[in-house]
Amino acid sequence: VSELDPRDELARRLFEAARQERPSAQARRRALLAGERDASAARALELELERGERRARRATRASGVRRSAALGATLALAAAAAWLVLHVRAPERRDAFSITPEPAEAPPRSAVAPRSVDPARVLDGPAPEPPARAVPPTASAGSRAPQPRVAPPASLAEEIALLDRARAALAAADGRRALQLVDEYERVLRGTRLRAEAELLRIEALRSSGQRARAAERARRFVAEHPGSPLADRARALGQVEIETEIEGGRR
Amino acid sequence: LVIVAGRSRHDGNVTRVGRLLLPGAAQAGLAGDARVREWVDAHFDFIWRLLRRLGLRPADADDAAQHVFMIALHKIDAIAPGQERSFLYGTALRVAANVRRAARRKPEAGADALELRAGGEPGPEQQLVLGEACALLDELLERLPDELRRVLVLAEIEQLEMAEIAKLEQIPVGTVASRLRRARVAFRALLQRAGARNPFAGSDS
Repeated sequence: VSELDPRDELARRLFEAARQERPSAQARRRALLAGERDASAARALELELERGERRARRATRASGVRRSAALGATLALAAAAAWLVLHVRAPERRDAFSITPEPAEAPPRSAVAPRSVDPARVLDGPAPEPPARAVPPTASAGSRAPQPRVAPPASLAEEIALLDRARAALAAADGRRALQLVDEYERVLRGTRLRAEAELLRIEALRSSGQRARAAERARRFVAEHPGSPLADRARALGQVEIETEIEGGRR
Repeated sequence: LVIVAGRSRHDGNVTRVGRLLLPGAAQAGLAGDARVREWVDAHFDFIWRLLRRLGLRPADADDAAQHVFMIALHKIDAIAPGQERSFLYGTALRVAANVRRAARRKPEAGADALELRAGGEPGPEQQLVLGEACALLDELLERLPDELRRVLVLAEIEQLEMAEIAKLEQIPVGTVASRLRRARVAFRALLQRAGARNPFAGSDS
């Protein structure tokens, strides 16, 4: 603030306070993972980030005044980091945007994992199918205990490609096919990053296939859950269309 | 990008929703990953702080920042080396504008209005002070015209050189200097009006 009034200490301190603000480590991690296509690299990156965060926290603690408190916090952080490593695909929070973080309590895609309800299916829909991407158990396991083999998570490219196909189906006025593809995205591919887009596509596919009431209901729910999302405008518009249709239908 | 701006050459529902996933994005070059990682390392904090000072709440800034980098990933082939920061900056402005438009239409309770994520693990009292400081700063910045606000943020908070600001804003350096002067005068006037409010009062002892 060199050119600001030199007496204006408050301005200087306000700007300084703003400089102290930092995005959370989770936010940065989400951005990194969003840009990461290679699943194993993403996983390695997660671990690397955890280690970096632990180091940074330790450094901060070491320079702090409250050393005894720091020890407890470090242990807590180490435990939290260990938990994160064990739940490397765990969510940070539900996304208000189109690029959604990992699904709540996302289970690993294990061939031996019991069939479970996909937590991504927070909205109503048909019962989930077993993930086709899960690696099948090997027949040659012999006497060895079968090792859970985790199928690699879907890459961003895969997610994009599948939603592109759903979109193409919609463009061809094939709502049913689009619905199948969105189902596939959620339950087979278990897409995580573009779930909001997938949900909007589902709403449009429902409309396209004549299920307007369900489309309107889901649109309303989408807006309620993602009020600040840029995609909420679209959902709002979709819901509005349905409401207007209902009103017009009532007049006739 | 188009959907973020809320505009599209296609008015059909399908195409509007689909604009985020640009055609060919799936083949957008696996080698781009390393570039995006570098961008996140180099620019994430800058973009996030910028989004905050453009009026987004911390949680919204998280989402918006992620959105910015996702867009960058999709557009990676179109971003020339050396232009990353400019691209991210321009994208962040558009994303922020869209989020703010949406927020104006559907105002939410500012539960985390005073939330602050400061580095260096400040204590609770300091967190509160810094949170109030950021809230006051945002309140004042909100009253500035956008072009002055952006220049002030880049100069005073991000401490960028005028040449760099000119590059980001795509305006001549002289215009930057002029806007910065006006922004400082306006900000000082706003501060004087808010003189009774000093989040740091009593926190220095």
